[in-house]
Amino acid sequence: MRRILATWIILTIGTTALAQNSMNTDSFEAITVRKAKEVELDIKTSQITRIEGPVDLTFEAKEKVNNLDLKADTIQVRYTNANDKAPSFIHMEDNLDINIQGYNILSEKADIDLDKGLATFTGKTIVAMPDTDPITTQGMTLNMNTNKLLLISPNIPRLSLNDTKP
Amino acid sequence: MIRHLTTGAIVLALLGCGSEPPVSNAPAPSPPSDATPQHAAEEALTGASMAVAGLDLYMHDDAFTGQDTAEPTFWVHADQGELTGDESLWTLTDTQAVIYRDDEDDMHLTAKKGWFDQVRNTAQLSGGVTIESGPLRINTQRVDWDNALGTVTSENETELHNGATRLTAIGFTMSPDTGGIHLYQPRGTITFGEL
Repeated sequence: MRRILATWIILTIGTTALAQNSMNTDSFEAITVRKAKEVELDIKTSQITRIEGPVDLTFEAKEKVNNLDLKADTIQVRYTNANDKAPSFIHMEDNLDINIQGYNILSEKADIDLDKGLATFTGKTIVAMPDTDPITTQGMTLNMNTNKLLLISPNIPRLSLNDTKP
Repeated sequence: MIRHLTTGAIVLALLGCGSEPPVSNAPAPSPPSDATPQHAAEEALTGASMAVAGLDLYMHDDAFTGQDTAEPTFWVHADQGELTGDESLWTLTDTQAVIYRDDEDDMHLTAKKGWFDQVRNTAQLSGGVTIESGPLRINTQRVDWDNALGTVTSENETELHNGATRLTAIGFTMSPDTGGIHLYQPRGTITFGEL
């Protein structure tokens, strides 16, 4: 039986964009929509009930460094409670192009838990960070509160992430 | 809510004391035998139409029994209204309308023009249409009301404001009863808690 060696690497990378406070649903105050096929709003509950992609939008955070720039073919937003003002969960699929806290992430699928500050990417994922070569992985989790990346089966560039010399 | 065709309760509320009298409230009389060609042409244009100053028209849901005290689903007032030749369609000028909602702020609409189909229970308002309900304000050029579906639709450029929320779209479909509004190709900012 073919053995599959899965490599898990945890990286703590000091980008300039670290959350100053723990992230939760109250960290976000608006969505700027640059592109969407349809948006369905519930004017009784003030909630977004559906967004039909492709989308290009930004979840605007109270701390601008935590803004989430999101592009995807499909997206769903969900609320924990019926009376919540802000969504607590974002699910995206296909042709993801995401900018979070200084990372540019291309992936097949993502689940972002805004309440816990966790972004989980599945399938082939390419993450680019400032001053480093892009890393290709088979999945990744970003803790937006600690800036820790958990990379699954990464293809690490030959250079150290923190090494500025060849 | 499923609505079905009900009789459009028509109230020809003539304006009060001091207001303009109706232009006409009865089928046009036969032209006199010595009618001028211009007179005949005007008659041909108006046909059997009936023009009214200060017109109020209503639609109700399927529970309507004809009692005047029942709350309508839709009401429109026009400063000028005219019943067209087929006697089912009113054309309206300088209109105000209300879409009544259960336990929510009613929706108030204004528009320059419109029409009201008392057979199909549909209406259209056009020309600088505004819709207001509480802090919600929508501006567009034309909307259609379908009483059976309980929906307002527009296929025109739309601006939606509600608090800090500012959106534009190429059209929308809204169900005032359920509170749902679909915006097509929206752009702008949705502020949480202010939709």
